[in-house]
Amino acid sequence: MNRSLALALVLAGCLLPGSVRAESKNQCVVCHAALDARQQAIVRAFQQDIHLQKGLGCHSCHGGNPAQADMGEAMDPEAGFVGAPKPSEIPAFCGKCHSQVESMKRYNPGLPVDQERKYWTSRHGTRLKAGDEQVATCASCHTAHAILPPNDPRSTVYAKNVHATCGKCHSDPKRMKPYGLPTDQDAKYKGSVHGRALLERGDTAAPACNDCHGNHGATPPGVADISLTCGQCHPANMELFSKSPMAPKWQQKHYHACATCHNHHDVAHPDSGLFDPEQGVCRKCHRPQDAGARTAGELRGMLDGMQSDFQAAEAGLKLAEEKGMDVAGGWDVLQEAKQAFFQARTEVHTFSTAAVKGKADPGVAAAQKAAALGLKAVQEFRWRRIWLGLATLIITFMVVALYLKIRDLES
Amino acid sequence: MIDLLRSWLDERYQLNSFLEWARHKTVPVHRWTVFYYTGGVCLFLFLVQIATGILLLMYYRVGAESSYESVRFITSQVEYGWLMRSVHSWSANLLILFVLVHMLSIYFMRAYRSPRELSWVSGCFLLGIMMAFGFSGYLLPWNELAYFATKVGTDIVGQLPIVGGWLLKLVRGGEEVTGATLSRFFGLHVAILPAAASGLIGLHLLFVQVQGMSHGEDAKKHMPFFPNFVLRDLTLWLVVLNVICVLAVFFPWELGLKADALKSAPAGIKPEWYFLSQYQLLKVLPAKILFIPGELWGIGMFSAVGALALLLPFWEPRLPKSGRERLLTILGAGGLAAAAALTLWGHLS
Repeated sequence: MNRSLALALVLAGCLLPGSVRAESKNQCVVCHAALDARQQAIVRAFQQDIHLQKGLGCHSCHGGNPAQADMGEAMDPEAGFVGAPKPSEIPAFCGKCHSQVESMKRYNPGLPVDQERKYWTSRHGTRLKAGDEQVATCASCHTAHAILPPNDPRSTVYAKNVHATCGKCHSDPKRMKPYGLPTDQDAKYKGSVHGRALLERGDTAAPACNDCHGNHGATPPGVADISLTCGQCHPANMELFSKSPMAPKWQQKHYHACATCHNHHDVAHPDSGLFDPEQGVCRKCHRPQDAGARTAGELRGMLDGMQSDFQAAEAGLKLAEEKGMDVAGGWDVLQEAKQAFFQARTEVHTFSTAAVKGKADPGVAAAQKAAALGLKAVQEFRWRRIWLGLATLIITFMVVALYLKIRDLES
Repeated sequence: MIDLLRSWLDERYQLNSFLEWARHKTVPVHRWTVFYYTGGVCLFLFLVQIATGILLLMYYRVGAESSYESVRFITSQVEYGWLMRSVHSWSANLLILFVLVHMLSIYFMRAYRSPRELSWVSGCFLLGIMMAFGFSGYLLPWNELAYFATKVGTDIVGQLPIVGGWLLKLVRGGEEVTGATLSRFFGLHVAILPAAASGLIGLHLLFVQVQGMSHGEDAKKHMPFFPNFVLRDLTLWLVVLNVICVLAVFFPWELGLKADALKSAPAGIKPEWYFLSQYQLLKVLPAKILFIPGELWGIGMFSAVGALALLLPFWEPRLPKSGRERLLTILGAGGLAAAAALTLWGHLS
């Protein structure tokens, strides 16, 4: 009987909304909602917190007894009350549950439990361990009481919000001065090919800060080479470069594989200009007339040729389509060209004109075929109108002849 | 030689008596004679449909995996395939327009009255067949618009009480619009409907020839059917042919994207203009009227209007003579205005 009653109470509790459940029993909320504006803001913020949504309350982190109306009893250290942690205590404070497989299995089995361990290996973590309490801890990025899952667009760690979350500290010259770090990374990132894809086009597959630097164990320091990071998303480029004759030479000179040409945070959309012997990145090492500069010039010529062939075909097909012509076949062929050009652009990481040409030639042929299909469609469009004009003339002639015949009959 | 052939045919099929009949056949001339030509235009457009339909059939391959591809092949690879498809589509729309104009002229001229009741009834059935042609043919390219329009259109059938579910399965060939629906619509479009339409058109023309044009007895003037009326008909047919060609060249019928059942319906999807008034009415009816679903009221209204129109020559003479003409004109004009307003509303919403 008692078991049935207990089960009924649990079920009834489950049916109540989370906030009602928590508020109806939570003396912490009752008291803190009546305190100053800061405390009230904490209570308000916690209403949307993922922990509350999962059925956890204030006492789950801070300890104490939320059922007690008396402040002394509710916040009695003997009842487990720990209060607000100091910055140096926060990783372990969160790790109480987030580092425990058993705890996480209950609430979110998909969430890893190595965040705290990774954190202590990060630059933030090592400095915190050394006594620097100005560095970021869990709450700096996730907030203290308004924590939301990373796939929630309101979350501070949602892909599109990450740059602003990191930028809160890293764009602040006052905070960065003691560390001698630049503060233009966020501005550079926003203008980069990655930043524009994510922030302007909303492409959440594009990387934010954490995709290169790591979520909790921020990648530098410790990573052997930047290409290991870039190669996570651009494996073909990384592989081709590492096998190219450039790779050992760059290692000798201690150049960063990708960043030397593409930069760190302001990664620009790569175009043929990178290979310009006068203005491109190759001039960092090559003189305008040397063999490397000549290769760069040839590569640029190929890339420009591909681009112009592709654009000409695209313009032709669009023109035909605007005229109402069906050029689906042309678009299919142009898609083949796009694929080939994509491969050719990747192949430039070999720095071999023959390899690039091998990939580009089928694309050039496909682009020329697509352009021819577009042109044919436009020409057919013109012929359609000419034939229509002729047909109209013949029909008009026949109509006039019939009219004259009828008039003749009826006169 | 021609005389020899003529006498050969006359011996066997009494050709001369037919020619004699044709020579003496006349058409009344009055202020509304122009509407007599609408019937001829309908016949011409039907012939265009048959000719272009046969040509399209040479390349069209029915099936969820082949219909769209074959239509794309017709429009992009087959010589003048684009023209045949556009002419077929535009001509279908013009055919329904001219059938409606023809029927409205018959209604307002009261040409359905005795002894032409069966001409009217066969005409009503022909309108239904032409709309069925339009509905079934719309699905055949198996593109996105066609798929969802058919889904919405056949959903209405499923709303019918008792037989709705069974009828829906019969029409779709299953629970959903699939390749099975496509096969059924194809069979209907290229075999059943053409056979039914050809038979009914033959009957309709036979009635007209046997009974002659309406208002013949009231007209003060007549013109010979051959060659005067036929030449006028031919002139109009040429003009209509030219209009179709202009429409096909300047506004080629689009194919769009291939149907994908897993995609959501494109925004603002609407049926063809001749179903738009019914569609709009169903859309604006409340969910329930007197505990009965609004859609059922809508279907009931269409059925009632259809039945009233079909049986018009039989109930109309029973109306009191005083004010009858005025009432019929108001009914016709009101119905036409309501259908036009609903169509416009549906188009703009």
